[in-house]
Amino acid sequence: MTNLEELRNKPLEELLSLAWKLRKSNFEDVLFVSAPSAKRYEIAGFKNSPRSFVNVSVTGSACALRCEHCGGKLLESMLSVESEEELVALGKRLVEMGAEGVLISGGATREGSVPLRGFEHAMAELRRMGLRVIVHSGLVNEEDARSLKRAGVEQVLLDIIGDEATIKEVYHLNKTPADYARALEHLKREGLSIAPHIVVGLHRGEIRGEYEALRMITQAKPEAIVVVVLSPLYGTRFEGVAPPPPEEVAKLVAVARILNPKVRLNLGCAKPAKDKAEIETLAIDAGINTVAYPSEEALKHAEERGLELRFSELCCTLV
Amino acid sequence: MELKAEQVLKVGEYEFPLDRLYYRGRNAHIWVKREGEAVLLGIDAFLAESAGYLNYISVTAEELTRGEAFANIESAKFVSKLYSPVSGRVVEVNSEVMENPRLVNQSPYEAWIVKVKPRSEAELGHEELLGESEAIAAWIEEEIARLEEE
Repeated sequence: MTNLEELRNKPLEELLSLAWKLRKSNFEDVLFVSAPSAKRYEIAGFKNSPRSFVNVSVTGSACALRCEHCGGKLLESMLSVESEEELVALGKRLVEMGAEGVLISGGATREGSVPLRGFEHAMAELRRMGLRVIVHSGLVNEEDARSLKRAGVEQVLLDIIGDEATIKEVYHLNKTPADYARALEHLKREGLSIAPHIVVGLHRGEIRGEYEALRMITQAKPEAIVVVVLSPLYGTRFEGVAPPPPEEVAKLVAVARILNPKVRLNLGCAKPAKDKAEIETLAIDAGINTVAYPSEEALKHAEERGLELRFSELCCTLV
Repeated sequence: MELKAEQVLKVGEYEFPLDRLYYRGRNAHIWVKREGEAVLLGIDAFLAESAGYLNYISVTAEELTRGEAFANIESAKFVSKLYSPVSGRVVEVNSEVMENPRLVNQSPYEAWIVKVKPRSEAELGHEELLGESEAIAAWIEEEIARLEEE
């Protein structure tokens, strides 16, 4: 593996230049635009549908961790199910409405996992109905990974944190980065497709464990890598926290591209609104493949750089 | 100035002060209020509520064309544009709202977004600008039904 520390210390311009070359040589000249139903997206002549790809919480708004940056807020906008029967019934309604798939998520247990095992049969049923099913798993053990495999989920999404203090102070979780590395191993061992996420600036806007997370992810050989950016939410303990500078986000994206030249690299849903256009524009220069809900400025920039735009209503990891 | 109850139309849970007009074109949900020779443009209660807390607003045009986008908005549930009910020139942008877009959710009818000098008086007389209670109520009821369907 190219020395990560060495790369990290290079100037941004140099990293962007190298990352762009790698993108050009390994991928077609396309920027994929992902706009699933979690947000209404209407831009550049494209409008998504409110039921094409929905987020479902298996815990309602309950979460044992109440992380500093979220406080359960992200669960509030999801559809809620409390039992396998409810999930199957929801799946049927979604199929009738022409939905393509679901992201099954939920609040975490004290151990940092989303309690998906109790929904194994329902998720398998959703797959039989023809829906695409991806999950937010949180930390998983071997049995969790086997259960996801039996359910036939198409992809597993989980945040990877590379700094112990961040895990304890932000996630309120008594775990270490090694636990996240093990979760990736369990999922890969079951042959599951993984799309790990790095949250840039998770430690009150500081860059702490992001590069360690990238190292762990690179080692796991994922199908896709998703970079998201701390977006301080109204009503959480992080309200008022300054998000990381766009240049720091771009640097991480560029290093991720250089270390993973052939892996799909996505800029996910979470981005601070004020810096969004700058982050997206720089991420395009850093060789990103897909951007979720991009700004008009980013779309224009992509076209100026010779990228064709392709819109999708799927989650960014499935595009 | 506080309006009397009869000067505010209530449709479902949404309020619509009757001292202004409402633009139904492109389902824009933009209100228009006269201020001297200019007009103020803002977001109505229906859009403010259905979009959720706004994180971002940016004004993207100085010369407005009726039916064309003049601003970008983003909230937890929306990434979209605002469409202008009038053609004209922006003479002022509400910097307070740009700095704190949540003011729109808190007081949609006070948190104006731009002040515009309309190209002509006719800009305020077209059929997609609603001022009568019955017309506003009928439109908003359609919009509530559409939202429930979604």
